[in-house]
Amino acid sequence: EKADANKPTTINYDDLQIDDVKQIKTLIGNVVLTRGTLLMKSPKAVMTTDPEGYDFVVLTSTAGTPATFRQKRDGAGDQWVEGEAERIEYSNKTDLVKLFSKAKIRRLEGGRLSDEVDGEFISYDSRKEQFAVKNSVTGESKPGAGRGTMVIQPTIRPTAPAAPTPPATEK
Amino acid sequence: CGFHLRGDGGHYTLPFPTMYIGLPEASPLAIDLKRNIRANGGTTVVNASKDADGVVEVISDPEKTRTKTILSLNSNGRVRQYLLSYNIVFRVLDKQGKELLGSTQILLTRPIDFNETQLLAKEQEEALLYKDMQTDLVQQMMRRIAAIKPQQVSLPPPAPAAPGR
Amino acid sequence: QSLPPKARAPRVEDKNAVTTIQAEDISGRPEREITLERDAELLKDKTRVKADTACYRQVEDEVEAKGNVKIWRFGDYFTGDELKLNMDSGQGYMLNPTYRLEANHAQGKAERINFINEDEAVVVNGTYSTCQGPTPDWYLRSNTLNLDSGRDVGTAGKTIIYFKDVPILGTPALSFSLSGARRSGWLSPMPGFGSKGAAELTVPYYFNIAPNRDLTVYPKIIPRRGFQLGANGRYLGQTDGGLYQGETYVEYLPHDKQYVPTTPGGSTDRWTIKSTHAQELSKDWSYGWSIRAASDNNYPNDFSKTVSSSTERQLLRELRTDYHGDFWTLTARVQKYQVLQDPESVVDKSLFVSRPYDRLPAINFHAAQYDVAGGFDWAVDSELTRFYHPTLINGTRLVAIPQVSYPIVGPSYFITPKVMVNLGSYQLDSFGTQKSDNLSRAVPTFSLDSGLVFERDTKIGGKDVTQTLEPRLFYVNTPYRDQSQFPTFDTDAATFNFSQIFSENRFVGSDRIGDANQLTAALVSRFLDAAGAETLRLAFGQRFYFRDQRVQLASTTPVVDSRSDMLLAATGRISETWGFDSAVQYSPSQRRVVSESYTAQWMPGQKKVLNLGYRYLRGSFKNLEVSSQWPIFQRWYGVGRVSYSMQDKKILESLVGLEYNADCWVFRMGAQRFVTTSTKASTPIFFQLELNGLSHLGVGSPLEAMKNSIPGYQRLNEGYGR
Repeated sequence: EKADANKPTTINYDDLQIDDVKQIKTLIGNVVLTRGTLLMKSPKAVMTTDPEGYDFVVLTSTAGTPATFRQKRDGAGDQWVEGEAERIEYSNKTDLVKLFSKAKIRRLEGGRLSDEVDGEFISYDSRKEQFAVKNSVTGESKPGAGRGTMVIQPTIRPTAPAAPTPPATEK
Repeated sequence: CGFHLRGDGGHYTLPFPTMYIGLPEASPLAIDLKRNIRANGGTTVVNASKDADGVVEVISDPEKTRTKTILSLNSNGRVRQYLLSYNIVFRVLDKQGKELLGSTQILLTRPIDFNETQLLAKEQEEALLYKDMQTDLVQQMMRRIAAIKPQQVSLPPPAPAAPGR
Repeated sequence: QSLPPKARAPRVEDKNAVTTIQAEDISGRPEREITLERDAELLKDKTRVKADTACYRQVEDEVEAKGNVKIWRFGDYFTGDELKLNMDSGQGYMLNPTYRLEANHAQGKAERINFINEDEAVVVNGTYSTCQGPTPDWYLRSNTLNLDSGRDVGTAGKTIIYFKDVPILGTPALSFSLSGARRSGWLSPMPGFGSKGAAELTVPYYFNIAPNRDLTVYPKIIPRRGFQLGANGRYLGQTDGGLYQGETYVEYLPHDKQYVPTTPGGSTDRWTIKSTHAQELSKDWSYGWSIRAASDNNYPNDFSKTVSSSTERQLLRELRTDYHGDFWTLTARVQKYQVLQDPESVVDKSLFVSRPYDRLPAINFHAAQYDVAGGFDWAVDSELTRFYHPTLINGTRLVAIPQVSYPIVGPSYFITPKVMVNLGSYQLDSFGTQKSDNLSRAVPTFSLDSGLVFERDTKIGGKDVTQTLEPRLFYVNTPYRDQSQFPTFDTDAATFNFSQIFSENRFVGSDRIGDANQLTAALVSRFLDAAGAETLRLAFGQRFYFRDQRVQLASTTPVVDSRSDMLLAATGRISETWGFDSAVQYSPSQRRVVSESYTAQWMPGQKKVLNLGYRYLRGSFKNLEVSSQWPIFQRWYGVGRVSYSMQDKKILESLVGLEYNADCWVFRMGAQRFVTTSTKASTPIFFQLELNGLSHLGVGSPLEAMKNSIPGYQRLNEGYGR
């Protein structure tokens, strides 16, 4: 949600190494970052704070446990966005989440999957609720380097938000 | 030379306890076929296809596909022989609609001599020939139906050998 | 309730199907607009779009694509530069597209295609062809082309048809069917040569009024005669009483310049009508008519192009009604004949066309019940008829034939004794010197029909078959009753064949009941394969007369031979490729053949058939026939038929044809020649270019001619419309 922008950021972790000179904190083991409805987890994270005090976090996964993030969306109904990737970069200055390599983003509505995107790189701007999928791990879009995919589930008729999808109606 | 009288359980008993004929009620072919099925013994004709073990589905009704084409002309260009044809395309389904006998065509033809001077008599002879083809067609259909291997069709115990039927 | 067009599955798209999008670069706001860059692809239920770039609006379910766009939808395939399609409504457009339709594999290219809905599309300045490949042999170019696969209709605005890039036909509007079903609009013009070679041109127009009604109009210009209008209407329908259907064809040519009226100053209008109608008034009651009439005696000679129409000179007009009880039927008919006397008969008496009696009316009653009162079958046939003839004796006849039989039937035997009485009474009008008279007769008949069925298993042509041997004896005893002064309104001697040797009366019709003390013997042997199908049938039959036959048609001298002619017949299809049919009637008293016919059919493969036939009837005809359809060389097929009269040493009927079968068109040409009188013959020629799925242009109707003359003929372009 947009309201997350002015919420405090809290981070839990097992171990912490701080390099005060470069203002770099390295967190290891069950890192959990929460900010309002935004929730990010990963086995390891490196956080740097820029002079104006904005944090820039890079969460990295280890074999088998990817870095994940989850955030509630504006708009009616119980709508959530969640994603996972081998490396996630988040800046609370721009509220931009970037997922690198084997990235996936899912949108859910009332616990039901409404659409799912996967590709090599996905960026998600929670303020403008815009996303972009690129086909290279660096985040640029290289021609001929494979394709991202998006699967959109049929929209639920507003008349029956939680009801099972109505049968195929004749045109 | 090996001939024997056709036995009771011979090639002629129908493998269905009940049968339905998919033809209009008043069609002479339907009347003749139903009569032969009843005369065969052991099979009753029902009026609804859902309660019949054997459903005869007529794909092309011979009453509607009769043809009369010119067979021979004489030297004055007058018709001296027509060819009458009477053919049916039918198949046999079971109660659930599974096909027991695939789409089968039986085509019969009879030549009929013709002369303008005997028009009215030839008209009646034509009717007799169509009736004869219809009787022949019914016999051939009965044999085809009797030849259907009854996988799971159940048969009532054979009726006691009544003298007439 | 409609005339039988091809059924087509309705094109319905599942609105709730999953939409899958793929591209090298995807961005946008979900539920708003998603843009796809490079190698974009969208798949939803029956629609798949591929393009360089695309964008998808989820709420409106709309896709736009640019840059070598390809779209597969419901079996149709389109390519183009730009596409806009709303998958919910099926509306949209495509710029300079090419298309290939599922129906008939039709294809073409255009400036633009507007999608109206799932079934309809309008092709703007485009082409249409059912030929495959980039350079179709023929194509149609039109400014507007409406393709409607839902109703199988294709209509085009100003249209030009190109064949090998040569424009061969231009029409203001042309309708064609996507799969050969019916559609309104101009049919292709048909230039032709009339029965005497007179040039003519007809441009038919077809009104597809409703699924169960249509009308085809044939305006025809015959330079030597004038302008002729033909119309053929068909209808099919249902009232609460039941089904009704009918077809009426009318041809009318006012002021025929070439016609000399029989009475000086008489009308020179030439017309003919052919109309049939059948209607159920209730489940048991139906009525109908069958009317044929023509304006004058020369009509068949001047206007017929087929063998059958040129020989029809006794035109029947009949109105009838039938009522069915549960075991009886009542029929009332009114019949009148128009005889088109053959003008040549003035010179050659043998060509005289006789005029049959009119039945004004004829009321038939038939009732029958089976297995009644312990196994009896009874039946009554009776008929009350008023016979009218301009030049012969008129009269009213009442005939009633009650009969009772007791069939004893078992699987291997049957014995059927039958007793019947033929009651007849005549009221004859006065005729010339004879004054009116009443006659009546009662002729009893006893018959005993019996037969056995023997079986054995044997082999024929290597296949296991069951061979039956069915001897049958049929005894008839009818006392002699003098019937020489009864007129013969509708009676004649029955031809002696297997269908009639087991009927009690040797005459057909009710004016003569043959006296009989005779025994008919027959032996039939059938070869039945495992499926019960008859692969071969052999039959022999002969009748033994124990008394002279005194009742004759006209003569009073009895016939005295003790044995009838012998009948032999063999018919069967003993292998996949070979079939034959033969029948012989041999007279032992005159020690020669009365009639025989042998036909053989060899069908070794697809579109390969050879028929040979020899037919002989003493004193009437002795014809040899050969007909064949055979592939000659690559795509060329030959078609031929010759019917040669050995008696008169001349060809009665011949047909020669060539067909070229390209993938999407068939060219037929040929000529047919048939004798119309002892000295004259008619030689219609035909050539026809049939563009599969579009229409056929050319002269005459060669397809019907070939189908009727060559048994086993197979159409080269199966499955394309009529």
